[in-house]
Formats: sequence, C-alpha cells, structure tokens
Amino acid sequence: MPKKPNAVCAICGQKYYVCNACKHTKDLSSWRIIADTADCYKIYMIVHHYTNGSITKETAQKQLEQCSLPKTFQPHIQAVIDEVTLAADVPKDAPKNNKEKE
Amino acid sequence: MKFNPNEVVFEKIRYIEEFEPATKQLLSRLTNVKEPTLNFSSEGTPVTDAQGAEIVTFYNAAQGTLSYTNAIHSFDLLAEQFSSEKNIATPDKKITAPVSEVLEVVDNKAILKYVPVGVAGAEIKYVQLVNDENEFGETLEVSATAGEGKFTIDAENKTLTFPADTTGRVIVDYEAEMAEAISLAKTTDSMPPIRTLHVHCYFRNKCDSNIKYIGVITFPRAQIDISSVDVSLTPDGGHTVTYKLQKPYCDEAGKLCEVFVYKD
Repeated sequence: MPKKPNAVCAICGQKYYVCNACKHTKDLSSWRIIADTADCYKIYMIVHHYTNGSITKETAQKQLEQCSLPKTFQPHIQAVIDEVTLAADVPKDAPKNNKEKE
Repeated sequence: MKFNPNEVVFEKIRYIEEFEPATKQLLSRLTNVKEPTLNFSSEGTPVTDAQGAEIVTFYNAAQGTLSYTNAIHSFDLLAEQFSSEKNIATPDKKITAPVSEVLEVVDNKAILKYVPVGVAGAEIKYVQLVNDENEFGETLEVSATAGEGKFTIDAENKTLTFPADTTGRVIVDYEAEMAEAISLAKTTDSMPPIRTLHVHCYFRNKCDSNIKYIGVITFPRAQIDISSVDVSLTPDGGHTVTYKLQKPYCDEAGKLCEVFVYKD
C-alpha cells in the first residue's frame, strides 16, 4: 500500500514518500532525501554545480542532455534550466539577451 | 619473623584494573574509585532431624557482587556497560558525528565550523532561522539554486548561502567527519564481556600508620551487571558500576576471589 507522501522533489516538485531511517534509503538511495528519482537528483547536482560555479554553462547544458527531464520544474529550478538551455541554443555571435528562439 | 598481618586499617582503593581473562591483556584502569562495596552470598540448605532441629547447613551457589562509583566518567566503562567497543577515530578512519551550531548570517552567508557530510549537494537538508524573539523561526530547505525559503550549500568551502534579505542567526544541524573523536553505541542484543578484575588497595598498620601495605583483590571472572545501569549526567554524579562475580566455570580450582597483601 503506497504510503502518504512526506517529501517534495527539489527539482520537479512531485510529492513522494521517503523513509530516511530505512537501511535501503541510507545505503542504496540516499539521494531520495532530496529528489524523487535518480534523474531528478542528477539534475539537482548539475544545477548545484552550475550555481556554485564549479561547472560552466556549456558543461551544464551537455550534462542536462544526458538526463531525462521531468515535465515540470520548481520555479527557481526552471529559471536555471532556462538560463542554461536557452543560452546554449543561441548562436555564439548572437546578442546575449535574445531568448526568443525555442 | 614472618609477615602475617591480621587487623589492618583500610586506607583506599588505588585503582581497579580490568584484564581480558584469556590473554591477561590490560583493558582499562579506573583510578577514581569511591564508595566500593563487595558482597558475597550463597544459598543455604539446612539439614534437620526428625524433630526439626537443625543439624547442619550446606551452602552452595556462592556468588558475589562488586559495586563502586568512579568519581569521573569513564568511556571505557560505559562501553562495557553498553556491551560494545569504543571506536577511536584515526586520520584514515574518521568518525561521523552530529554537529549543532548557531551561526551569524553575514552578507547572506554563514560559515560552518566543519565540512558537512551526507548526500552530495544536500549535506544539510534544513536550517532554522532564529527570529527576533530569539526563538525557533522559519525553516529553510536546501536547494540546488537560490529560491524563496531556500538556501544553497557549498560543503567543500563550508558555506551556506541564504536569500538576499536574510539577516540574524541560523540554527544548523549536520554531520561531520572527525579525526579526533570516539564513539560508542548501545545495542539491545549484545552481552557484556567477562573480565578479570584486580582491585589494588592500600592498608595501614593499625599501630604504626606509617607502615603501608599493598593489597590486591583479584576476581578471575567478573561481568558487568547491565540489568540496571544508571549513568549520571551531572558533573558530580560519578560513574556507578556493578559487577557480578562468579567462579571460572571450567576451572576445578577456580576461585571467586583471592586477596593478596604485601609490604610496600
């Protein structure tokens, strides 16, 4: 029987259940403390490293391409995803503020 | 003239040593022993005649207890009362311990004392702001990037970054690896080990108290009684312990205890 959600994914905002005291969570899927799926956690780490300045926008964009992106993001995460992906779509010689290209 | 004391004045216990019975390796030494009590008991079975008059009493099942309070707390003793090992950290094998700090937020940042460990990027999941009344305030949640009600963490640089308008202090609880630390844990299914005890005492001659004798009371088989363990959590409470004393079961000549006294 599914248990009542007690956590919200830091990336997609999806509610889910996690038991941080369970051995399985502690040993095998400790990332569930922060995200509901492994892909969301991968995105979390990419955004985390990008925000901390330890990877460039181009690297973040390449890494995001390797992930299965959820349909929705939390608003503050969406802003960073847009910043990374839209900027990467813009040709190198185009003005920086041109975000119209989809 | 042979040294053969009878009545002596008991001065004090110098210290109590614990040995591994099989190897005689010294395991711990407690040097602040106070209020020691040694008690022996056995079961008496009286034999009576036809009229019920007692002829003789046979005693068996002899055993004893040794109780004392160590004036200062002992982690070695506590480990035995927990029936576990004391873990000692090394640079190669650090101990992860809980840390709690109340930090000032300066320029939207707070600097931790230790490097937090845990899930990468979310080593600290929550922090609590201290409100204007110096009480538990708003809870902020870790995030990959800045957002309302969120904070970000740079574990390597021990830095937390808060929203732009954050001021005051923040309560931070996390775990960090310590190179200089110990840990001990009590589980519910372990049994306290058997030890050999040596109780080292001082005696004085009753006529000339300048004459000192050294006494050693040995207990070949002693086991900490964990049926009731009271650990005082006050500075002056001391550390109380009780041992059950038994004869080494497989030793025909085994003794419950033995007393040695010699001139200093």
